Amino acid sequence: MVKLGKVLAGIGSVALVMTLAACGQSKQSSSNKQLADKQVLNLSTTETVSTLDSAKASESVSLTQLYHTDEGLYRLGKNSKLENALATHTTVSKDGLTYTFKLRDDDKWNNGQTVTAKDFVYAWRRVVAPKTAAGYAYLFEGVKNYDAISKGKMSANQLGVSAPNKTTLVVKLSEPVPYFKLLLAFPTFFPQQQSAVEKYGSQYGTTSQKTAYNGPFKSVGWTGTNNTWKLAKNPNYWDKHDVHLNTINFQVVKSPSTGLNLYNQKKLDVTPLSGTQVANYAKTAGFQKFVGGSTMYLQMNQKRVKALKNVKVRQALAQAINKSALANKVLRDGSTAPKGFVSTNLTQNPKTKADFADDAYVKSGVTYDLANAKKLWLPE
Amino acid sequence: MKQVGQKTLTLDLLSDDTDQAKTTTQYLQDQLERLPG
Repeated sequence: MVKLGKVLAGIGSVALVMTLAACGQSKQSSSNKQLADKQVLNLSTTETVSTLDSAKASESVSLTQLYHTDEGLYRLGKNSKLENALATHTTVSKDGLTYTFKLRDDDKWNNGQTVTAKDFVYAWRRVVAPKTAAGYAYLFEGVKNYDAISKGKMSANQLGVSAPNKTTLVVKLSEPVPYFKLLLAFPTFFPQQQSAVEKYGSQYGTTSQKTAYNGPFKSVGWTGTNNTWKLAKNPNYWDKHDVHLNTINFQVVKSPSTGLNLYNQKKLDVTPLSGTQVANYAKTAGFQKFVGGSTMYLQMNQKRVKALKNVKVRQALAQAINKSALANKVLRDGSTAPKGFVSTNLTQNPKTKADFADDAYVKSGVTYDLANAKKLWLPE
Repeated sequence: MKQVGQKTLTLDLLSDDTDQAKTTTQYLQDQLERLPG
């Protein structure tokens, strides 16, 4: 097991955003305001896409694309509230072990074929099959037979998911999973079109062309390695009337200064700002703060460096890092020092609404104490 | 470090190829180098 060191949490971000009021995607703005003539958005990412195969995607750039190009049973709305997407009705058995989903029958793949419950069964079996090597397969922990399948002791066809007909999906769990519905809005649980996956084989998801889409947009022009591509409105998407954007252009921008130049030239509609830029632009129109919910950490390779197996060595490394200074003096982008491994703003106590990170705060686990770190490192 | 029988430790830090990641990693390197050895 690799242990994780806590370094920094509560990553905020700050960005300059073009005045987009006339270009909004929400119903509210379309009813109150005139839409811009050109429904085009120009965005940047820090890396190129690594895969469009929803079974295999495990990093944020790819997952962000998949949220636009595909859709699962649910989607997350404001404040991560679950909303029906392809599911229209869900029943959960009293013991919490059986979920029955009724699916809409009017969503189509980009080739016109209808999305059915079988596409979920196919996708999920593919994710859990060990030969797929899906990075997020472990999210299926709790679905019946997942453990045995992951160890190669059972066929993926034995996974607790079935499609009694085209619009009914039944999932059996081995134990109640209170957050199961939330998982279903994550790309690893999205449906896949068997004919497309089999047609392209190991090439599936490696380019825009070799991928099937059932979401609001389809990817266009990504060759697998290039730094510019776009998302184009998918005319086969069931909810297309609520999608106002025609095109989202993406380009890889690695440095915030390049991003700022492109923004000033009106070639980007949004650009993230680094700490040094914030001071100069904090009072500019378009400056916005976004509160995130993610944690950055150092992952210690205990296989490569034997000394990292020693808990005192790891504690010394963790305590030698001044996290507040890193957040406030180095990054200066709205980040805060961590209260634990789980970020602030991620989830709340359902009864008290207190932030989980505050409830779970163990000061000694994240504190900065160089003197103590030195003692742990070289005891007297 | 006595427990692990070493006097010095060399670590390689791997990070993203972005400006922010470079700044962060340099800072971490600087912080960790304050430990003796």
